Amino acid sequence: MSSAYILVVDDEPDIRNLLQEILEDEGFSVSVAENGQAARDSIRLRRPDLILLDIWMPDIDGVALLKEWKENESLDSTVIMISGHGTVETAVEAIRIGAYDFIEKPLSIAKLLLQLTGLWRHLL
Amino acid sequence: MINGKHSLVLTVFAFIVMLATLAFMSNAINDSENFSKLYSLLLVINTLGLLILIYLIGRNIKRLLKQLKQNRPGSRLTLRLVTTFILLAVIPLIIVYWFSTDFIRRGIDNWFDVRVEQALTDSLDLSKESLGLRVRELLKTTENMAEDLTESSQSDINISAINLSDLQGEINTTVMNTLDFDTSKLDDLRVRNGAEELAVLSRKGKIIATSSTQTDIVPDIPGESTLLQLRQGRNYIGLEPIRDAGLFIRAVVKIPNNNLDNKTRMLQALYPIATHINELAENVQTAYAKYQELAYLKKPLQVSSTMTLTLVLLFSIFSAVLAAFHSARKLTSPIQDLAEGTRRISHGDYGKQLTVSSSDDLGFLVQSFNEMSVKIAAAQHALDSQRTYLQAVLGKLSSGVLTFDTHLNFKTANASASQILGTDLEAYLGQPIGQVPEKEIKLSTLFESIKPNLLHHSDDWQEQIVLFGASGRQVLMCRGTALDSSGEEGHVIVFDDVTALIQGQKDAAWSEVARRLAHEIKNPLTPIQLSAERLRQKYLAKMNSTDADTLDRLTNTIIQQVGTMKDMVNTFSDYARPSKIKPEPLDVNPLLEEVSTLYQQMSKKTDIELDLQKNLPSIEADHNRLRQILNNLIKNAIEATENVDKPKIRLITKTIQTSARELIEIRIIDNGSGFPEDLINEIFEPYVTTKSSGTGLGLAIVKKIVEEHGGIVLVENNDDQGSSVMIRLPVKIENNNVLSINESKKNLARKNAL
Repeated sequence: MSSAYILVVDDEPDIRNLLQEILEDEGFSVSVAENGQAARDSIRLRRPDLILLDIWMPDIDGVALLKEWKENESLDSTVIMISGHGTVETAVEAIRIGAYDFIEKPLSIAKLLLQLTGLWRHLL
Repeated sequence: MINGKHSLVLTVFAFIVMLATLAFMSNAINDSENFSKLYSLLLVINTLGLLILIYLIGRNIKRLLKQLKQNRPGSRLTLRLVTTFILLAVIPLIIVYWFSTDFIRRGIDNWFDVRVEQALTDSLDLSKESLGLRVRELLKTTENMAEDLTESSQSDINISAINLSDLQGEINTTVMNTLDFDTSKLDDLRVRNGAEELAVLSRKGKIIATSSTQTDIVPDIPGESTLLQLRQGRNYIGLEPIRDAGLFIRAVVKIPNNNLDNKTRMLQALYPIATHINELAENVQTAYAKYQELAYLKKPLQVSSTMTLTLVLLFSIFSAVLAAFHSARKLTSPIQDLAEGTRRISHGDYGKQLTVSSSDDLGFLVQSFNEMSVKIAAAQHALDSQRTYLQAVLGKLSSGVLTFDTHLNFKTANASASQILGTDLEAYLGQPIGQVPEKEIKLSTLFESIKPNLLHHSDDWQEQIVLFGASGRQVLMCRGTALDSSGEEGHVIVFDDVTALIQGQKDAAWSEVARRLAHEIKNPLTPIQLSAERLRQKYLAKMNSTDADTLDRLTNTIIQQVGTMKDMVNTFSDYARPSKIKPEPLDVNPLLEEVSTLYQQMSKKTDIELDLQKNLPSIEADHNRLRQILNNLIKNAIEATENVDKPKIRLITKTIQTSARELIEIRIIDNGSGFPEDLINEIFEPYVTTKSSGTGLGLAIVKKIVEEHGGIVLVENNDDQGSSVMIRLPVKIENNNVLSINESKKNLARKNAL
């Protein structure tokens, strides 16, 4: 479990850094990316086990980025979408494309960790 | 009914027959032999002819009267023409007739004048007298000649008796031979006295000697009766036809007998009568006979002449009358046609063609009429097709088009105008702008709004007009212009229903706002939440109990408030979200029971009472949205009754059957504080609220969802206490058919007794 590598993609530095701190405290190895391009670069360096992907980013829509990865089969990581303006339609769309789950902002640590535990149980 | 052609043939036939018989009649008068025989027959034929003419005239008069009675065009003109023609023909005829009969009467009277008769008798007598005179003279002459013969033959005539009967064959030679001397004497006498022939005859009538202008003929011997008369001693003289040579005067006298032989001799002399005297006498005789004959016929002649003349007169008059009718009809028939054609055109039957029957002025008029008719029809056709084209264009236009005339009477409207205003505008065409019935709220509002523009603007104007009608608020973008600069031709107004457009723009704007708001608020909320949780996670366990309590309280407050803010943003997003309902069959009663049970458990002191109609039809509705409505409303009711001694909420359902469709009604009645009267009209607007807490979007969302279902929601304060909310939802959702406020208001009971 400690070996799990998580990539956090969010344009908000506070969210990125807090998530990194919290997740590292939990024993994950964590990288962050502030936009779509950085995320692409990051996954080329190391394949993450899990990606927490924000939907609304300055350069690219999270859903579009997910679609891009899934379409050229460059990614087999588990993706959880994070959205501030989550609607049922967006969530359904994301999961249809290949996201594992959908988390609504504001995030709650307890909820996130619960979900990760569930995910790891599922993956293992 | 005899038609015109037969009538004409009959007329011509009668005319010819009558003319022929009249000619016969006038001839018959001069032919006394055939007169009486033919006359009656001709009279009968003519009378029949006249009767036929009278019949024809009668028919014409009857027809004319009928036309006059029907007030047919041209009938008066026909009457006038006929009257004029008849007067023109009849008056001269009657004058001629008058004088003619007078002439006939007097002429015939003069013809048989007494003086003429006397003259004829006298001339006949005269001729007889003059002939008698001549006869007597000739007798005398003959007697003188006989005496001459006696004297000359006393000595030398010795005529021996010859048996003449033996000499019959060659009488002339014998006599000549034996009476040579006598012959020269006789010749001498004959020439001297101008006789044609002289002959000396024996007593028995035998020729003794003869002398004649014609030498080679046997003298004519007098008849036995003449000889007898002479033997009795009387001389004979008389007119007799001789040997086919005409009349001769024959004189036979006894030659005085102073001879010895005592033999009786007779001298016969034939004298010619002068030819022209003869002819004159004959003429007089014939004329007299003729005159007598005619005089006998004088009276019938007068009568029959007058009769013939009368027949001729009647025939002429009747023919003239018929001709008058005929020509009047001929003259007026194009006029009647024209009148009929004009009437047809005035009744909208364009293009009527009349037959051109003549090439005169009337024919020209008819031809002009035909040309005019064709042109009118063409113009009308062009106008019609132009109108049809215009109507097609206007009909296809999605914008509403209205026109008004100078006096602001509503003139035309296209189909889109009726559709946008939700009423049949055809019913109000022609009405003044201010006279639209009040029930047509939208139409009257629209007219009231555009009226100032029509009155004061002569150039283009544009105005956005908001209507409140049966289907709710409607925003129209109106553009108007006068059809000419002075507004004399009226006005045209084009308008579009921009409600949906504005709503769409509004929705899009709201949606965008909601999205941004969600992003801009929820993003900062995330680190706040995460930080608060991190603080708790990291330090709560490590702190002493007092500090830990404080940290726990503070971080909990942060987390709670973040949650509240998140809810608020989500509610707003719900409201701003574009409509997307998923209707499916839904039973309202079980849903109400479920929701009410939930709230009954949450708020035990409130008495929630259900009054649900059994067999309530299921409706087409979005289950989640409807639940949201009920949640919002029941929550509101509970909050409104918080400060009431015995809070009570009643939920009522029932079916409403309107003429158009079937509805269900849900009423939530509470005995709470009610709505402030100043807010009750805008309570469904966003952020209008009576509560100190809450988003202010609860009723706005209710209204939005109800309207998405094609229903309507109303609130009002009860007469005694509290308020009621009434929701009406159609059993079937139909597009563009939102419930009318009027039909809902009518049925909303004023007393919502608990």
